[in-house]
Formats: sequence, C-alpha cells, structure tokens
Amino acid sequence: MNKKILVAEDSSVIQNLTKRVLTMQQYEVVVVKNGAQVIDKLNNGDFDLVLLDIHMPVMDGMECAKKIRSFPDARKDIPIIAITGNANNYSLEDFKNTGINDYLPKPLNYDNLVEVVKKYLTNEN
Amino acid sequence: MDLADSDIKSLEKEVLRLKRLLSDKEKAFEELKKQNPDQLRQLFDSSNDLVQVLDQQGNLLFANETWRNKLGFSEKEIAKLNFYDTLHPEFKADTSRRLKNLKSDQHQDFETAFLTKRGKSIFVRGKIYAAKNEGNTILRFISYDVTERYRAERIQNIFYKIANLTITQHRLDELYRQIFLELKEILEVKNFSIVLRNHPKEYDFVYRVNEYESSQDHPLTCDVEKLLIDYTFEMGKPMMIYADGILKISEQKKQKLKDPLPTIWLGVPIRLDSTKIGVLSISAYDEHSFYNNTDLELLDFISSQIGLAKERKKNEQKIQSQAARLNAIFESSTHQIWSIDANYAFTSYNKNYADAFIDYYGISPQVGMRLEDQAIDTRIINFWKAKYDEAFKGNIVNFQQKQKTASGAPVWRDIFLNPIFLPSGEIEEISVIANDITEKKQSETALRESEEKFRDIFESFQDIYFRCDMKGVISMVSPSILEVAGYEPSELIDRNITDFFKSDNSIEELFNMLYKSNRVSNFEVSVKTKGGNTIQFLSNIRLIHRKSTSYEIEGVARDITQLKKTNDELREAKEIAERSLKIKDRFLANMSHEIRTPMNGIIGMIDLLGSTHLDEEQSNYVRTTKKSSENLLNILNDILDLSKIEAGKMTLRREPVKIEDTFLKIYDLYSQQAFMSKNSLFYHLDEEIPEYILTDETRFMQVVSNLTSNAIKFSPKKGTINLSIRVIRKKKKKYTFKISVKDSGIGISKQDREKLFQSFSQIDNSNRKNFGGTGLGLAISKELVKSMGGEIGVVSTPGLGSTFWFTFTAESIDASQVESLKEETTLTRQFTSAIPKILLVDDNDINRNVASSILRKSGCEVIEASSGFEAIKKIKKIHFDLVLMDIQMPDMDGVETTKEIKKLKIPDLPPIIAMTAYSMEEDRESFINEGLDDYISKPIKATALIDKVKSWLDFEPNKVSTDVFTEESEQLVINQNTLHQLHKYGGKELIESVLIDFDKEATEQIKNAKSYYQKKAYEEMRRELHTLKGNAGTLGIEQLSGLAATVEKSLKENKFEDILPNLKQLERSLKEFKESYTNFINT
Repeated sequence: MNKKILVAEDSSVIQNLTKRVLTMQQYEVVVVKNGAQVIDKLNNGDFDLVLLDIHMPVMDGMECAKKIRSFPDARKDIPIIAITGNANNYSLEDFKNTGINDYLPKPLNYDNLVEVVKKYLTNEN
Repeated sequence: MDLADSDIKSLEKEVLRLKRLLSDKEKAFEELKKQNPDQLRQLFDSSNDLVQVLDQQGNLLFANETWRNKLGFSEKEIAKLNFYDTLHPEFKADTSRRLKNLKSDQHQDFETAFLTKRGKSIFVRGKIYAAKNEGNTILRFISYDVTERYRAERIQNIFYKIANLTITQHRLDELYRQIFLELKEILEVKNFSIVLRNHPKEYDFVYRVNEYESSQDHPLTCDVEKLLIDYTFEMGKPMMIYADGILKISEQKKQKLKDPLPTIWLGVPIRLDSTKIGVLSISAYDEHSFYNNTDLELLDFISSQIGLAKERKKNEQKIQSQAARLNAIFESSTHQIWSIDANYAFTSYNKNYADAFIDYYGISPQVGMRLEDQAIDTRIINFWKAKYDEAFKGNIVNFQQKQKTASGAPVWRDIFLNPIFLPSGEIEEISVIANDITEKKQSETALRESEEKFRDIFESFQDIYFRCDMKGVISMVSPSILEVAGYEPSELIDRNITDFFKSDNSIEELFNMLYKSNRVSNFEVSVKTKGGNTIQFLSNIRLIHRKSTSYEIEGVARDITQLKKTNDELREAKEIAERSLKIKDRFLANMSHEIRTPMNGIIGMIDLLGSTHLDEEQSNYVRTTKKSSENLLNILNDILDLSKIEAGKMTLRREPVKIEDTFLKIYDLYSQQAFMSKNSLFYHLDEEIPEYILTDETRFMQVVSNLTSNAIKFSPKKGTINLSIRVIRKKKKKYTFKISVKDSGIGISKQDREKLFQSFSQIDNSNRKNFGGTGLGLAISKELVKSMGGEIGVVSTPGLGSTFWFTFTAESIDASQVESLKEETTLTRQFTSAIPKILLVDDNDINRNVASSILRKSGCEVIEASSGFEAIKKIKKIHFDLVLMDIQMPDMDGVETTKEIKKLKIPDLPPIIAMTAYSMEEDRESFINEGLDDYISKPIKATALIDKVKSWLDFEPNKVSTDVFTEESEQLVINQNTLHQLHKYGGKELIESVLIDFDKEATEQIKNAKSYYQKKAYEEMRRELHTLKGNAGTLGIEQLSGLAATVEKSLKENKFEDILPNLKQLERSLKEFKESYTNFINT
C-alpha cells in the first residue's frame, strides 16, 4: 500500500510538479488549493503526510497547521512539511511552535523535496 | 706309407710262417685224426688262431676255444650259432657273397669282422678252405685277430684326416662335428664334448654329444663333466679316469654328483699359444667300452689340432679386423685419398674423395677411370700428369692447388703424392692424400684484407689512435698526430706519453681510473703540441690484454680545443639568456605585484564612486572604468600565476571536491555569459565519476573556466558548448579523468594549434580586439594540468568548432570521509547583535580609505590603524568584533602583528582577517597556519569585503547601492541545469508539462499583477509576484524569478515608482521565456 501525501499549494505549477515528482517515487498524491481544503480532505480520508504551502489564499499554511494539530484524534500527529518562498517572514522557531515538522524553501529543490518526504515517511515506520 | 709297407712285409712274413705252421698242423691233424678226435680238439683249442668249421648254410660245426673266448660265447651256445650271425653287420653281405663263390677244394685269403657277444668289433684275417665231406661241402676258417692293427691303421688315418680337416675346414663348429664323427666311427665314441673356458670355472660347451642325455630326453646337470673338466684343466695334461677315480675326485672336491657316472672318461686340455683354453673329452657309460692310452694320445693330438685351428681362426680374425680398421681409416679420413696406376687410372679412392670428385667434376669416380676421363681440360690433365710423373720417379710431391667446383666455388687443397714402392723397388702405383684447406686460405685472405682495411682506417684516421705500455711508453700512434699536434709518429714512438701531458694530476687520475675499471671514457687532458701550443684532447682509453703476460693501454683522442671554445661560448650565452629570462620573470612578477597595490585603490574607489549618485552618462563612464580596471587586474593575476608556476612555487592542495558541485559552479559562472552571446552551455558527467575526489578545486576550476570562457568567446551566436567529464582509467581509488570542452565555434587551424599553448599567444592576431584577454590562459592551463599529472590538447576543424581537453589524475574519497573532514574545517561564527566594530590595519592610506568607506557605508563602525604597533595599542583598549589586517607592512608585518595580538591573551579575541595582494590560494593556508583566521585578496572589492565580514559576523549590512554594476549579473532565461535535475524525476515529459503549466500560470500571474497595479491593490500584486518568483525559481527560470523578486521588493519597500519599468521588463522576460522554452522542448 503506497503512502498517501496531501499537497496543499495554490500554484498549479508547483501542484503539478510535486505531484508528478512524488508519484514517480511511488507515493499516492492528492492535491488541494488551500488550507480549508486540507482540513476537508483530512476529515474525509487517511493521509501519511501533508505538504503545506505557507502562502495560500483562504486559509494559509500556518493557520492550517494549527488546525491540524488541534484535531482531537490521531490525525493531529500527521507530519507537516511547509513549503515557503519567504523564510524570512517566519523563523524555524515559528514553524516549530506551530507544529510544522520541517520546511522546504522556494525555489524548490527536487532532491531536497524527495529526501525530506522520504525522511518522514520512513521514520514513521 | 713306409709304415704300411713294412706292415705288409711283416704280414707277408707272418703269412708264410703261418702257412708253414699250417702245413705242419695239417700233418699233425691227419695223424691225430687217425688217433683220437679229442686229441685233435685239444690241438685246435690250444691254438692261438681262431678256428671255425661251418657248413654251407653257415651253421657252426666247430669253433675252437680261442674263438669262443674272443667272441664271448660258451661251447653250448655255439651249437645254435650261425656263422653269419657272428659277423659284423657291415661285413655280412660281402663275406657271404664271397663264401658262396668259393668252390670245393679251394682256399682263399679272407678278411672279415666279427661282433662279440657284447657288440665289440673284432677284425680278423686268415684263410678259408672249402672241403667235401661225405657229400657236403664244409668250410674251415682259420684266422687271427687283427683288430688292434686295424685300429692303429684307422687311427693313423684319423690323424691324417683331422690334420687335414683343421686346414680345410674354416668353420670351427663344423670342424668339431667332423672330429666327433671320425671318433664315433673309429672309437665308437658316443659321448663327446669340447669345452672352452671363458672365465675361471666357467665353461662354454662349444660341442657336446651325450648318449645318456639323448636317451633320457632331459638335460643333465653336467656336474660330472664340469668336475672332470675342472680337474683336467687343473692337472693340465691328458687324463684317463675310471668311475672309481671320478668318485675319488668328487670326494676330494667335496662335491655330490647328480648325473650318472661314466665308466671311463678321457679328457685332454686344449691349448692356444701354450695357454689352456678348454678341454676335449670323451666318455663311455657301458662297461665293455674301453679306451686305452693310444686313444688318449689321439685325443691329445686332436686337441692340439683344435688349438691350431683356433689359433689360425684368431689370426684370420686379426687380419680381417686389421684390414677393416685400415679400411675404416681410409674411408673415414677427412682427407681425400686415392691411388692411381701407371696409366693414371684410379686403383682406389675413399668416400671423401668420391664426394669431392662429384663436387669438382659432377661425375662419380670409378676404379679404372683414367685421367683423360676425369677432366676435359688438357691443362688440368697435363698438370696432373706432370705431378704423377714426378712421383713415379720415386719422389714425394707436395703442392697446393686451387680447384673450382662444378658450381664455380673455389676450393684450395694441400696435396701429397707418395710413390708406392713394391718390395722389388718398383713403383706401380702412386697414392695421393689431399686436404681441403679452403677455409684456411679464405681466412688468410680475409685476414690480409682486414689488415689492409684497418691499415687504411688507421692511416686516414682523423682522431688519434695510440697505444702504449703500462709505463706510458708509446708503441704506436696514428699518422693523424702530425696534423693535430705537429709530431711525426716516428718522433713519438718509444717516448713516454706523459711527456706531453700538461698536468701530472690528470695522469695520476687517469691511471687510477684505468686500474679500477679497465676503461676511461671522455677523459679530458691538455697536451703540448710541437709548436708549443696547448690543445685539449677528449679520449677514450682502455686496458687491453693481448698477450697473456702483459697489459697495454690503447686509446682514441680527439682534438676538442675548438669544440670546447664553442661550448664555453654557448654556455656563457645560455647563462646570460637564463639570467635575463629570470630577470624578466622577476620583473613581471614584481611589476604585477606593485601595480596591484594602486589597483586596489582604483577599484575600491570606483566601487565607492558607483555608489554615489550619478547621472546616466557618469554611470556609463564608471562602468567602463570598472570593467577596464578589472581586466587589468585579471591580466596581472594571470602574469602572477604564470610566473609562480614557472618558478615552481605552485603547490596543489588535496581537498575533497564534489565534482558535480564544481561543474555546477562553472555552469553558474558561465551560463550567463553563454546566454549573452546566444550560446547554450551544457555539461555532462559520466556515470562512473565518483562523487568526491581529492584535488585542488581552485586550480581545477581555473582550467575548466579558462577553456569554457574561451569556448564561449570564440563561438558565434546560436552555438553550443558542451562540457563533459569521464573516467578514462581507474586503478582502485586512483582515477584518470578526461575533461572535454566542445564548442561549435570558429575552429583552429593546424599551425595555430601548435602555438596555442604558448605564453602570450592568441591566434588570429588581426582579431585580437574581438576576443580580448591576455593570451596567457592556455599557457597557465597547460602548466596547471601538467602539475595535476595530466595533459592538455585540442582537436579542431576550422569552421566547425574545437574540442579542448585535458586529463588529470585524482583519488576518489568516500562521502562519509568527506563529511567528517568538512566538520573539522567548519568555522565558528561569532554573533554580535550590535553594530560591528572593526579594526582596519593598513599602512597604505588609500587602501585604508577604500576599505573603511565600504565598511562604514554598509553600517560598520571602523577604527583605523596605520601600523602593527598602533593596532596592538588599540586592541588593548577597545573591544573589536573583527580585525582586518594588511599583511605587507613596514617594521611589523601583519603576521607578526597577529602573533603579538595573540600573545596578549585578550578574552574573546576577535577573528583576524588577512588582507593581502598575495593572490594564491595556498597563501590562505599559510596565513591560517600563522594564526590568522581568514583571508581576503586585494584589491578589495566592495561586495567581496562585505560578504567576508558577513561570513564572520551576524549583521545585516546596509544596502550599498552598486546598481551601476548589477546588470552584469543578469539571470538566465532558463537555467537548463535545474531542468536537468528535474529530468531525473520524470524525464522530458515532466519538464514539458511543468513548463507548459508554468507558461499558463505565469501569463495569468503577470496579467493579474498588471491589473492589481492599476487598481493599486499592491498587496494582492505582491502575493501574485511572490508566487511567480517561487515557481520560476523552482523551475530555473531565473530571469523571471529575479524580476518578480525585484518588483516584490519594491512593493514591500513601497517604492512604487520603480514598479512600472520592471513590470514591463517582466513582460519582456515572459515573452523571451516563451520563445526559449518552446525551443527547448523542441530540441
């Protein structure tokens, strides 16, 4: 059974890119456009990891992460990896406080993306 | 015969006597008959004669006692006996025939033989009378025994026969057989043996017959025979031994006998030259056979005959082997031997001569072949006739003769003619012995020719050949000495060679070397000429050992006076040239170095000038000035590099280098430049390339950069430049790599290629201005590659492009080791939150001014010191976050100052960064080893200085506007490298789809941004551009990403006036991207 990854990203370019790169790595990828959809998806199915763009309309990444971590059940422990184009706005400390496990800076490095995802999905087992 | 005659005479006398006796007896018989038959019988019986009376059928009517005794019959037996039955079978037929023919009243002389009851023959002679008695004819046979006599005759005969046999019979075995047959006939021998002794007690039965054995059908052990043979041999005389004697001998010899014993045994030794060589023996097993001394004598005679036969046989063999030996010598001789008779015809010749004859004349010689048949040429015939005739006069003739073989090869022979004298003194034949001396002749000729040749050489020799004894007395010198030194060779013979040497030292030295190694090469010596000048000789001298007792010295000397002079001149010229070259190099290095100091001021000030407010024209001028000064700096750096390499001062470091990173750096450095000249830059790493290698990355990059920048420089628009690295050899961890830089440029002609790697050469001088540069790059690259253990080269087709390549060797290193190495060298950063306080130490006012201006502008607090002493003083009082230390200062240089500062043991000592014009990377190491923490190269450039400070201190510098120069760092439309990365994860298809996505989205985003801008919805606009920046960056669409970032920044800083032109720029960039990526996809 392939691991399921939920990718939240408003840019269709990055959506498409991450989806295809991760699918090639034998992951099942579901893509959404904003934080609200993330919560929606998580409510309706099991995922192993969330890739979260911080910079999103409707519900941004930080808010979304906070929501996930406040889930009453086991879903709150799902690994969250942030994608951000401006790390300056938030420090690593900020991410940690919010409950984000790791982050990938933009521009996205594909090797890095695959490596970090793998790290969390392998660690869980 | 005399013996026989006398025998006959005596026999005749006896007959007469007997006849008289008989007539007396008859008278008496008649009287007796009248008296008493018993008395008559008595009379007969007492007679020595054999008396028999028989009827015509042969029935014995009477036989007297003498007869009975002789034949071994009793009186009773006689009555049943028939006369014929008593006859010897051989005589039976003849006797009965004669008896039948006998008429009445006749008498006849008669001879016959009886066989005794035991089978022994009795030969008799006598008279037989036929008489009528009462109507019947009765025969009266009165005879006497002549057996002994008969035997004597036969033996006499056998003597003769055997003597004859030994002469006529050449085969010994046949002789033995015949002897046996004779003995069998005369002596009724049934057992016979001839034994020859090989070794003591070892006998060879050369002939043996044994009745016992032939009847028994199994072989006897011959122990009896051997015993008796031994005994006979021992006694050395004829032996006659009876059975009891045999037993005695066997007892005496303590030998038990198995074979049956003969009743009698006769043995005689066989002698050859009075040496006993064997035994001849006969024996008998039946008791009635007996032999007497006469038989023994016979055997002795026979044995002597056998000895004679043996001897004769021996002599015959001797003669035969002698003849065979002579023939063998004759035939096997390496000489040619033949003989001729008075007609000059061959009487004999050996094989060697026959072979040679075929060689010479093409025909085989034959006995009887005459001289005229041998040769056609009358001259040859006459020549030989004369020689033979001379020999026929009784002289021995010797001469050498040249002959040609049938195939024309010359043959030399040494020939001896010997007359063969008969006992009478006559000469009927000549024997000839010839020896092929061609080789000897040829070597003589060769020797003579060789001597002549060497004499010629010797006399025409231009160098001087000399020979002297161990004391130096000259025994030989070539005539060339006259021309060279003015001496006649005869003047020098017997003079000492040392008389002519200029220095005694060199003589001693020469002799020492000669004794040590037997030869001396290239020995130089000064020699006096006859005219009193000094000339220089170069000699090769050696000891020679021609005679077994004494050594000699020989040598060849050459006048090198002129050569030496020329050499000295050349050396001087070379030294001058080298000196000047060194001066030039040092001058260049010094000049470059000296120029760099003012350059420091110029560049620094230009940087500062660029940061002031300038109008467009001024900016343009500043930019050009900056470019020119940087070019000048590059030239200086190149010259410094080259002089350093040439001086051998370049040392390469060995540090872990990630090859892929290096190529990425190259790509980053040159992709922009390539883009500007409308070229595409690609790189390709071979799969076999290890991740990390140990090498000097700076130098490696320097070479690759040089080749890459050349390729870009010399490629026309729309070309491609391909970098590649592959492994060409691998031995464990040691790799040899080949790096190729392939361009599609103008190419290089063959003659240009040869000049390419020389200093200051740039091909196509007319175009020099087009390409710029020092022309030192390839020369430096060549030297660098050489020091990396590789080679550099180029293949090129003018008009189509060139491929520059180089090889280098490096060891691979595991990533795990690299990590640990890296950790070790990680520098600890110091963090201060306040404004950084920096101590700037430099004795040069301008330099200090430049650096401090840059630092102050970027928000640092700068305190200046113009010497090491001042710096120490200040650092004692004030706490600094960082020290920038010039290295070259008078009185106390930067390194010394640093050491002094360290000695102060100030708590929380700031990092000290060296500033130096030493541009070499290895200098950094040495400064760090001396206690400095880091290094920055002069001339100081604003960005480099700020980056350096930033790397040590955590501070956000004020923006120093260097806008004037930013256009240099223009980004690429598409960084193909980033896309290559993407290729890994999804191939071309992924790239295509992502780029299409991006195109769509970016078009939308820019459209949105424009409309937001019009609505002054700046935050929305910023968000849009932020996403665009990230997306573009992720896909390596650098130009768009950069522009989006610029606009985003302006929006953030509320610099709205900058937005519109950049937005326009953004649109243009998008358009460019669209063109590029469709192109990209299509290729």
